[in-house]
Amino acid sequence: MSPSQQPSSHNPTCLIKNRFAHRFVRALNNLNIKNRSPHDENQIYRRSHRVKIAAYAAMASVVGSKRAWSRAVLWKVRNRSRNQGLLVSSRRKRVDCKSKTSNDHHAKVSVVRRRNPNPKREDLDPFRYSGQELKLRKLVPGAATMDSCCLMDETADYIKCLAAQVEVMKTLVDFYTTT
Amino acid sequence: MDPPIINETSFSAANPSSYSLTGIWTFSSFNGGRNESLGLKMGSLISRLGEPNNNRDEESTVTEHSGGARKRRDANSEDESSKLVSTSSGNDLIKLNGKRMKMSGSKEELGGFSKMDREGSSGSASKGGVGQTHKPSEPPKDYIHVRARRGQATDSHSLAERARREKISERMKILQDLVPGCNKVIGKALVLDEIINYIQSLQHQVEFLSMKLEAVNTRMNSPVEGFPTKDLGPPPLDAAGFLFGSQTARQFGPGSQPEWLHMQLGNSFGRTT
Repeated sequence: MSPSQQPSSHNPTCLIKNRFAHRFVRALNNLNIKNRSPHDENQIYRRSHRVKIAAYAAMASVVGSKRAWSRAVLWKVRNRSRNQGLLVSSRRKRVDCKSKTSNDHHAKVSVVRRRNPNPKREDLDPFRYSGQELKLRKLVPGAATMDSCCLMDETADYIKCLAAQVEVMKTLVDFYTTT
Repeated sequence: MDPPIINETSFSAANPSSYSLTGIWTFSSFNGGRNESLGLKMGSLISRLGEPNNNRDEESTVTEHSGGARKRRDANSEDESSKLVSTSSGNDLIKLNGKRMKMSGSKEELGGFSKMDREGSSGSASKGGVGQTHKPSEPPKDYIHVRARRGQATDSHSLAERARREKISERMKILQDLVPGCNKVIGKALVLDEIINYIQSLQHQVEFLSMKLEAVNTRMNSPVEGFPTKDLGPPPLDAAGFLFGSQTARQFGPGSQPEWLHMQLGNSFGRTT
């Protein structure tokens, strides 16, 4: 096994692709298991959105926390799962308890604060950067608070990973449609 | 008026010929008479600049030297047209000065000379100040490693800004190599446009592919809907193995081994399911 592992460690994009495929297939499997309920047409969009997020999360977790964009994606995914997953119901229960015990106003304020963790939007001065750079900042996750040198670095890495992701997903689709 | 001339010429012509200790001494003491701290700093700077390479010294001495020549003209209206003559005379005077230094062995005397110089001609002293302020702008080049070309600004802010811009353009080049069809595009704005379009197309592709995958997934999922999860595990595992077995040679570069991938995927799914 070790000689066959060597070439993949030599080529970083190849390694990333392998790991991404591994994680993404696992995530798809999990989604399949979770979504075994009889599917109706309304949920197609939601499910495809879930698949997309799974793909992004898999790529970000492969890259890890060493990159700013992957950190941003992971943070977003975690927040999303916190907002939409099981934690929401528990928090709502907690809020209900609070509102029952203490005054309503205080609980509402705390919820609003938690729902709106907008980080340092003021740093993004629209007059400092050109239009293209602003657009690029909107596209690359977590790029709102970088300087332009960092932005270029992160963009390069993001493009690499995104291209690898698209390639792997294409092969997956090809395979699934042929069988 | 003789001592000031000796002092100036020895200071100006100290570098091009053999750089002797006396040159440093005279210079530092000359400054020390006027301003103690500055003189010490300049002396250390000159000693640092003077020893490692001679080219820089020649650069710096040209300006200093011309200043010295001007001063001398101011001081006693002596015509010195060619610099060569003045350097040679300066060398002689250095020797003289060195002898005097050996004889006296004290800096105070030379400090007194510089004081005399200042009293004699205040205009020349101010010019000497101008000539020396040119000098501290050079040492930062030594540390930041940014070479300013002719006509470029040399203060620290512009140097840092230039370094930053060079860094950004370097990254832009890397990005241009990454994005297909971006090498022919000229201009930063157009390159950025191209990059943005590429990223958007990739993200759209991801969206489209996820929709496709979702459709395929549900279609594949529906026949085995009734089965328990243990039976649900194998098909994707098999699928993944087959997929990479068939396509790695083409898609995943020359180095990857389909058998290994198959094994790993198989192991992982054995673990997960």
